[in-house]
Amino acid sequence: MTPTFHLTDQQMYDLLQPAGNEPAHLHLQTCTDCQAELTNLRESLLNFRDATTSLAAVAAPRYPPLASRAATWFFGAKVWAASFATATAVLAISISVFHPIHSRPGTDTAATTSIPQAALAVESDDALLDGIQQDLSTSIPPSLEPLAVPTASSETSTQN
Amino acid sequence: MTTALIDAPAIPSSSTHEPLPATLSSIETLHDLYAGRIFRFLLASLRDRDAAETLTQETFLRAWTARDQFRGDCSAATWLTRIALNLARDHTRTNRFRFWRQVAQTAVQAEDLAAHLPQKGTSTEASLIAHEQLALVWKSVAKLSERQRTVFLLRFVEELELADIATITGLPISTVKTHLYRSLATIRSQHAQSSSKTRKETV
Repeated sequence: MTPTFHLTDQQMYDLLQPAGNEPAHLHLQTCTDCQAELTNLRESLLNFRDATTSLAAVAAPRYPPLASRAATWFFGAKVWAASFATATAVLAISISVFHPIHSRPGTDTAATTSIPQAALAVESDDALLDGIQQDLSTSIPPSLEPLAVPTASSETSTQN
Repeated sequence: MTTALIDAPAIPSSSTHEPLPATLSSIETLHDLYAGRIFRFLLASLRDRDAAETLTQETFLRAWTARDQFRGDCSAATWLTRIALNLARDHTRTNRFRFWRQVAQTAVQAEDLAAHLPQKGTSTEASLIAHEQLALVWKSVAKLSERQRTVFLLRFVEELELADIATITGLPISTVKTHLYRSLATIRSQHAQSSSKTRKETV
């Protein structure tokens, strides 16, 4: 059955507002059906609002203040960064201890099996150092060369 | 200008166009003032506690990151509600939400709402009538389209002015009114059907 309304939806909406609607008010004074419907509708909407508000108030999570949350985050980030730095340092130390980059002569057993290569490496190192020394010596201008030993010059002068 | 149906709780009026504070302490104040209201709107819209809680936090996070874009041409409450509404729309459009809504343990049912009905009348009959009225509105709201539901909740639960609802939804005031009348028509229809059914049962 299709329900019959005495008041339009707009009039009913206006009646739900405190200001109301003049023609609708006039109809309402003479129509008990609309009076009952308006009362029912108003109560329903009030109940819905009150219950929703009450439920939301109960169900709402209790958050700590934002500032303290931000402080917690900042402190947490600091702790995390410190932990990360410590872990990295420990990892680096353990790598350097258990996996030495340069083998030490005399302690490495594998070095005994490859003596010729080691000797060659030492030889080439010496040659490299000599080369560097030579380059440095030639690049020094004569004015910056070490002074002659004074005793030698005095000897020559006395000889004259 | 329309006025509120019921006295609003201790929440600042949405009509006051206060500037959005930029400092952390001010955003904290903003959160303390409006988190309850945003949560209520999202809970009524989504009918899921977890989703409402997540999106409430997301609303304030978005507001905080986009605070420079706030021009102050509406109230902070209106701006926050608009962000919340956009988030709720994005959320409801995902298939994940449609699926989990059916099985979510945090989904709000009509009985949950009924448990929070104010005990105005002491008689059992008054209590039963109140439960029935609430169930009818609950059922009717579920039948509304997304826009009708949003407009209905903003007017009859949040008690916002039509101009604020228009700002939040991005709709003209005339369209907001149309949605309100249609939502009211759905609720009236449900009430009328229920009344005629009750009359038939008693005859």
